[in-house]
Amino acid sequence: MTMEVRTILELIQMFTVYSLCVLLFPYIVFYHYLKEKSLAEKFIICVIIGNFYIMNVVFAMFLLHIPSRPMIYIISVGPAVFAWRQINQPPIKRFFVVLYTGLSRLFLGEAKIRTIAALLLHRPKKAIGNIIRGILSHIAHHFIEWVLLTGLFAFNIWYYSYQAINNYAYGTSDIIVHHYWINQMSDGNIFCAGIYPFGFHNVLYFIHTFFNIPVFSIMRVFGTVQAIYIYLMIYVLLRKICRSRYMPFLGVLIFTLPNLFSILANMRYQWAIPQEYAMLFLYPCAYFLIQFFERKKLEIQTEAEWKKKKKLYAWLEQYHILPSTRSLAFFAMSFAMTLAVHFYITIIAILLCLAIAVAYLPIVLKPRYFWSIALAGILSLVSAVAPLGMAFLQGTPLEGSLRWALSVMTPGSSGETIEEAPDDNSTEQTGELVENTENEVSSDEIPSYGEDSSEIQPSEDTSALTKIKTFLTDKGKAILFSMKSVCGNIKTKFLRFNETIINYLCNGFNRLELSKAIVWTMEGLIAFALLIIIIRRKFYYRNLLSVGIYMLLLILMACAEPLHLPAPMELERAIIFLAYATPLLVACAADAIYAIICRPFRYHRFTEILPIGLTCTLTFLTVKYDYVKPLSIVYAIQSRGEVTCNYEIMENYPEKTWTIVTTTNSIQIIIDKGWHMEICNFLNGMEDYTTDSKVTIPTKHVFFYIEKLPLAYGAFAPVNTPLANTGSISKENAEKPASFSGGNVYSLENRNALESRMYYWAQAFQKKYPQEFQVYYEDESFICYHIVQNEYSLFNFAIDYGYNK
Amino acid sequence: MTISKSNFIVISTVMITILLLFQFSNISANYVSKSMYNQNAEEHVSISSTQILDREVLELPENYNTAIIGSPRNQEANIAEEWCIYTKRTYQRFMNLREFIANPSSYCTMIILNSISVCTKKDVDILYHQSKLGINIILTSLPNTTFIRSSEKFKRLIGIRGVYQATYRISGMTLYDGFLLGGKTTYKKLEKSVPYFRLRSGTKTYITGYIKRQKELNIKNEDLPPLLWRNQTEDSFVFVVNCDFFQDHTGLGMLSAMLSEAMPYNIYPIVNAQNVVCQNFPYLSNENSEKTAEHYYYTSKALCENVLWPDMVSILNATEEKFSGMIAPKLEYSNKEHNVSTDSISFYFDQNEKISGDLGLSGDQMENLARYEDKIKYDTEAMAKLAPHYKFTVFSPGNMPEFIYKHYLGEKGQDSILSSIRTLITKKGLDTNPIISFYDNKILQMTTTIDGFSHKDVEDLYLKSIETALGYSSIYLDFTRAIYPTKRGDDWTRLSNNLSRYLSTYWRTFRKGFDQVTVSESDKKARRFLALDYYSQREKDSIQLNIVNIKENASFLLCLNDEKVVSVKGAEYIEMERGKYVINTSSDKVLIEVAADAVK
Repeated sequence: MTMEVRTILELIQMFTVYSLCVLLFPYIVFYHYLKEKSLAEKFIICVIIGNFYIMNVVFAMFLLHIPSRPMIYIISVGPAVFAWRQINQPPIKRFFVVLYTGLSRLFLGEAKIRTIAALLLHRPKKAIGNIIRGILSHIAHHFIEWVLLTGLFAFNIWYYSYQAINNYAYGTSDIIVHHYWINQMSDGNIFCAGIYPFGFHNVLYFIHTFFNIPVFSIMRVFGTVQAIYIYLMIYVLLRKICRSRYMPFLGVLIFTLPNLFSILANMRYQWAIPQEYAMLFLYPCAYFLIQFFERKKLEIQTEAEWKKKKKLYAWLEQYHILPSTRSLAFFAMSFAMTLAVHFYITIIAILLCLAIAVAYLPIVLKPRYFWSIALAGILSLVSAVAPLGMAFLQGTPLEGSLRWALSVMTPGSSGETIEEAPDDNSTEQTGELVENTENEVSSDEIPSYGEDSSEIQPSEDTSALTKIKTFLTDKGKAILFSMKSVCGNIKTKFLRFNETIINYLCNGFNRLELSKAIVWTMEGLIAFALLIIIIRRKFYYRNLLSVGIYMLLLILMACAEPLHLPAPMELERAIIFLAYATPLLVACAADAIYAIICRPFRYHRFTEILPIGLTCTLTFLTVKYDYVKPLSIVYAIQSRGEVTCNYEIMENYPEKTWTIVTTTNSIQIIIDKGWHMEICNFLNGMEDYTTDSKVTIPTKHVFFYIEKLPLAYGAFAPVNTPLANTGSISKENAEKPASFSGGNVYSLENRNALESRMYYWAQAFQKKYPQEFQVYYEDESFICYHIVQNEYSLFNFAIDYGYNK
Repeated sequence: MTISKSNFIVISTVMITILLLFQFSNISANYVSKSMYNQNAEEHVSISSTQILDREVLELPENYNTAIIGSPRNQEANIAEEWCIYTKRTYQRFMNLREFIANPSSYCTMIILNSISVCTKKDVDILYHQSKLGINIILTSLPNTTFIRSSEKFKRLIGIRGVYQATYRISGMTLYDGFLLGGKTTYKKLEKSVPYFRLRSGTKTYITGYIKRQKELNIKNEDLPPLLWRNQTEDSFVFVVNCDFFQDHTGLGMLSAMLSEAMPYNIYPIVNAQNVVCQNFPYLSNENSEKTAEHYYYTSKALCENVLWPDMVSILNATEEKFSGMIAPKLEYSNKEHNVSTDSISFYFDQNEKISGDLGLSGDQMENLARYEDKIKYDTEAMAKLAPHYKFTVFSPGNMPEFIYKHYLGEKGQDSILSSIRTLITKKGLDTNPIISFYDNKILQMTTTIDGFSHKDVEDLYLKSIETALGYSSIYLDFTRAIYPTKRGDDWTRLSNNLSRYLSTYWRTFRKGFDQVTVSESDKKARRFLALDYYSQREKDSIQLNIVNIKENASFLLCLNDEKVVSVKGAEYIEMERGKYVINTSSDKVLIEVAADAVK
């Protein structure tokens, strides 16, 4: 099986397994609550419940120090079955009665086994039939939506899985760290590197343990799966906000097809890393908060009506938990999960909630709203921080990156500022320029009352009336001038602000025009929503305002440096969220126009032709003018050959009977199955060779991974080109002095020197063992040698290969 | 209840018919029986000594393939020569290395020499030079440690870092997997004194010494005393034997294994025959009955017919071995009381026919040397009288000296019972004799390889080696031990237990690939083996094997390194072990397709 086919199968497997965990199982458990809801709501609730449950089940298991596979089955399935039983109240007793009766009849010869089976399977068969009919009916009734969704997601699957399918390896070094942490969890050690938001790791660990899928298989393709879910969240939130049923597709399309954003904005979705995974829970926060406001309003109205009828008890009787409270609970879960997976997303979630709160002023300040939200916020914080706090109390220290993250968020401190140095200068220059321009403008444009007053000389001969008139005219003029000057000042400052952010946002958007358009759209949306809210206080416009304010806050965060604001995160990360918010902004703006235009038609179905047409036209134009976003980039971490060999060896050789001699990156991948030895240690063992030098590896099989084109570790290249490398191995490079330890041992020249030496060692060793030392795999950039050892009399790998004296 | 007449008649008729039917099969079997005829007796032998590739054909003064250094009296060199004959390699023998240098061959790919041939620095230089020319060197023994210590060049050549101890007592040895057939074996009772060397990197060890107190002495496996290893010089391999394996035929299979290790593939002819020789069984007389009755409560005749025969048949059936019995008409020829029993003859000949066995004649008797002549005469007369149509073709002299029986073999024997002999089975012991060779123009001599009632470590190593070299084993079972028991170990219960145990364990691997045959069938296979010549060539993944000189089927052993046989045309193949295949040809041209095979 080729690696491409294997990756596709793994992708399908991963998609199925994750969907089972976060969609199907929660749906079955909460079927009774969910059956009446819309598909989008079912989806978002299941995703939230599924993830929240998995994360906390794993946390509970580890904090109770009982991690094991049987335990994960017990504590995940047990409560779920109990909940299913309680919520759906299935006729289990009746099932057993039927079973007992059936068996009795079977033994008495009164019925055949087929009859009894038919009796027992009648209800499940009916349920399955209903589900299939429901799915088919939904597709038939929402055919265009399904076609559009399928098209968009097919493109995204291709786009984000391209790297995994074609390069096989992890695309970034972060994944290796997370892989290590999950491996450590398999060894019963959570928070191995200190306390860190482990939500992401918990979910992957759960999938790995519950379904027995190797971690490397999960990590290679999970990025694509999570990207699809992240994209679906845009769709679901837009479905909640937009008037038009098809406008959400425009939003998803904006984020999918055209080349609008810098490469930094999209590239991380192809990898399985926590920050992106946490984005899955960002928009659900907004979804449930908006839903809470809607439901609460309705509840207050209904409550008032029933109170008036003096039948409040009857109304309350029908609910165990009020719908608004449920929304708030889901909001709390979503918010907690942002915190449980990655702190950065919590910052963005706070901004999003703040935007919604501002848009819902003054409603949000009403005690019935405010205290509910505040309580939900506190509960979500507690639920997210509790596992970390418990671990901390158990003596686990904080993980290093947490301190780093806090330092980045603290104004005045520097996180990773080295790369940003040129930008800082340019920003400072821009700042100065802004200040100068400001001075110039103020001196040019601000009218001087004094000058004007000197021009108007009061006449001594004027009457009292004229004096009054003159006085009033003068004062009026003065006020007018003053107002004019203030307005001018505001306008100037606003324009300067606009100019600054537009220029700065060029870092995130591909063209200046684009950043202009985004900024103006945002401002337009805010202005429009504010204006309409004054006239019509509908939640729809408040939602539009929320999106506008959210975008404004993100822009302010991204442009914190030129605006001299405290920067909670660096620009590279802010761009990701800005890009992720852009489809909301564009779709909401377009929907606002749709709302204005199509209101007279009462949003009749035929008006949907507008968003569909807009989406199709945009797609057509994007394709026609070749403005489709290019393939992403990939970091040089491992060669394709190395991944292929890892897979082949793990599948074909018995566990722990083999060792691979290679650089560091394969260690986490093979750690459960085999052994690993560093090239630097291997070569160092025979450096300054004497006949007494000895390097032995105590396994039957030993594989030597050698890069013929040593990778430029950590350097990136487009995903459809060969990985960045340091040039071919050579005798010259082998002759160069090499370092055998230290953090940069596999970087650039030293990597080339080590790989060159390794290659010439292999050549020399093959001469000594021509029958035994065989090429296991070879491609244009990588070669793997294999030797079978007699475990009772190991080979001494230390030889004089010409470069080690 | 009464039975009617008609019913009575019907029942009686049916019963009689059934009785007749059963008896008929028995009667008819007796009628068509040819038990008193030897099916293997042929007028002319299929292959005589003139048709084989022997010393005269393979020893070439020029263009030889293998140079054997050592005098004709040198046992190690003789073993090497015997191996060359078996593997059909052209060779030339030289007294010393200087003589070899004076008669070079451009086809030479291998030098086999021993400790006596390496005694000066000049010899080392010659070897060093030859290794640079790409000629593989096999040192069947090493010069003394003083010489080795003095020559850094020699140490480098044979791949040792230094001499750790000049003499070291090892309690046994470990034979590693993949070298000889039979897999990894640790011999814990095979004490030797050998020099203790420490090897350099670039060497591969095949046999190491076993030290009982290895853990206490803190010796790593890699540092155990090496007994047979390979060193890779720049262009060739040097195989070094640091033990006395070449003092007997144990070295034979090691040479084949070394060649397989030195080449990407190695194919060589084998006999492919495993036989069991029952010496002095069937026993046709009733001597020593008092003692046997005392020991077994049976007369010797009854013991043989009622105990030994059923036991042997069941053991051989269980292990699928074929029976080859060397008849002992009498064992005490001075005893006139007991003569050959006619009953016994018909019993054993009939039983032998039923199990498709083979019957030959034993040369043993239990009295003094002078009685051997009497034995031959008596046997000739007795068998001519009691089994006149049976021509004996197999003779196992046992303890009978050669100078006695040689006058009776073949045409010289005239009317002697031994005149029709075609196969001579000699007892293992005289290591100067080849394992398989022609005794004269027509008679083939084969040596038994192991005593079936015993299986010591040294015997096991010998067995593995012969199996690797020839695919041949001949198990020798001397039944006089059971009929004339002298010690507790001679009790048949113990003997049969041991035999059953050994056959079902130590031969299991070999039974998988090699044929179990009678001595006569072995004879035919061995004749073909000695007569055939072959050449093979490889192109990518195809090995072409061409067989010349014979038209009948032949057998080969194919050794591959990290490869497996995918298909074979013109032959059948059996995988014995990983990378070791028995190829049984059915055509003179065989095409073997191979593919990479990863060790798991």
